[in-house]
Amino acid sequence: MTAASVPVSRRYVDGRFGQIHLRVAGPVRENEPTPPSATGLLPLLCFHMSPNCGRIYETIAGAMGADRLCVAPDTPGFGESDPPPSAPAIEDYAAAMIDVMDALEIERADVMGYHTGSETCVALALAAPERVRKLVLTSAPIFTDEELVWFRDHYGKPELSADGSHVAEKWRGFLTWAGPGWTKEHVAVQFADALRRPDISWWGHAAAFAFPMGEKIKHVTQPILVLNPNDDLVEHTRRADGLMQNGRIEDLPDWGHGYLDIHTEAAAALVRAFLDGDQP
Amino acid sequence: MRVRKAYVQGRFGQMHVRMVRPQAAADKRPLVCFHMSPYSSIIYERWLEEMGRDRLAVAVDTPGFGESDPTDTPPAITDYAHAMIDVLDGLGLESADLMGYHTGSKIALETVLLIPDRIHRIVMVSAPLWTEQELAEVKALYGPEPLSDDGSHLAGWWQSAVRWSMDGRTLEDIGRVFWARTLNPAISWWGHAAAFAYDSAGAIPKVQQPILILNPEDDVWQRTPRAKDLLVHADSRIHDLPGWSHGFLDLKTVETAAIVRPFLDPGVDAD
Repeated sequence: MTAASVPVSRRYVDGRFGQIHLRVAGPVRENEPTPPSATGLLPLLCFHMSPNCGRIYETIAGAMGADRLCVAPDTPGFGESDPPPSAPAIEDYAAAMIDVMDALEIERADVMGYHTGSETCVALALAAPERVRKLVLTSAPIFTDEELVWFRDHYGKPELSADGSHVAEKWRGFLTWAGPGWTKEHVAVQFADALRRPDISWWGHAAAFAFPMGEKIKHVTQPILVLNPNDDLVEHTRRADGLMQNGRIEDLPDWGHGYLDIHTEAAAALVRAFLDGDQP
Repeated sequence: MRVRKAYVQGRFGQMHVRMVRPQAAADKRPLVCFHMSPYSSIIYERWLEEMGRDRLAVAVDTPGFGESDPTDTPPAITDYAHAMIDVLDGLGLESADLMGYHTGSKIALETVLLIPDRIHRIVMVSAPLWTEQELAEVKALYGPEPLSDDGSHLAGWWQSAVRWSMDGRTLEDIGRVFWARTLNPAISWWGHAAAFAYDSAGAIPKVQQPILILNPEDDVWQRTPRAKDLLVHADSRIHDLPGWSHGFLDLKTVETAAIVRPFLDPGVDAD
């Protein structure tokens, strides 16, 4: 385990939907073409939850970047990445992530996802199996039809109010699901990204709820580690048990949203043990 | 025309810029725009598309705002101005016109005083000059902002954005830029603090270049006419925009360009 942390820089690459904004950390110099780093470890790509952006990985990218290239893109339409022309499917997000790999000259990588980003990992592993070695998924939600009705209703296009009550309500939702130790100040750092592009920010959730995770994850042959913190998807994630060909679920009952910032070193150690362990 | 975004290295870290380059080769000077506090270069997105038709149009995230790295400690306007010069250098711009909006107009003033040979014309959206009593009042109004449990701090910011928006600006228009107002709340008051510490009344008479001050009917419009007697160049003037307020760059983009282009390009017929 490496306790060091390296600086995270930001840059753009071009993808099929326009510019894609990246956070990049690694033992290689910024803005260089980025082959597997000098340590010989595969690059790690990190896909964020909806709405939000790659900022959720800023801290852990610095930690993982100590011994490998770590890249956290903003999904098209989120953060500073240009949006697709219309509401996309998870497969479209995965295709854009292949554009990121191509732009950075990354042949093969490990991938890490968080909620919607977990589904993008699975879609990418299925679309380009030779380019994805292992998957780390924070939550791997399998929804029932009844739950999907509620989720689609709850995470639709936000109504904007004149009195700002829609913003206040979103803030209270973030605080409700903030994990232990995640302060208001922490939440505020991530919160602004959830307010971007209210006209299309629901596309991420819409794509996520249209993706049949239970069906898809069955076909993934690569090793999968599911991290299951005690957040809003903890129960839905347990259903992935038994569906994976080559995966396991690690329950993290003491962690919730924000664990990547609060338990950075412990999370990095878990991820490293899985990625750099003996399993091929 | 699509806005492209990029990073440039500056003394405080990475500086984030939005840009539109004209399709044909442009003979007009680049226009570089600085935003108000807090917010970011997002407020110039439509403006860049308009002005980028015939010149390189750039808007910069001030350090600590948008995606630009912050300073380590609360900066002065002159620190921001030095960071903007880093951007001009990083983009290879030997000469440019500047535009600033509220805090950004003070950054523009300071930049032109630091590199007078490289800046030709300046557009300022508002140039508020404060009495000592007014200054004490606004300083009290714009300090560090505590975070609430119930989101009332955010609702308050949103209500303020709605209140000072010009007629016709929709909630969707506000929603497109509001996130930038909520970014980095621990330090986002640094922009106002720097602005209120800056001596605009001392700076304006030192500027030898033409200054066009646009004065929309926003929260500071009564403070701006005080700058009139301080303007030096014969082409300098204040252009009142009654009935216009925040959002005018989005709602009155073409009309604003029709005021700004003849000022930036004297002797060129309006198209």
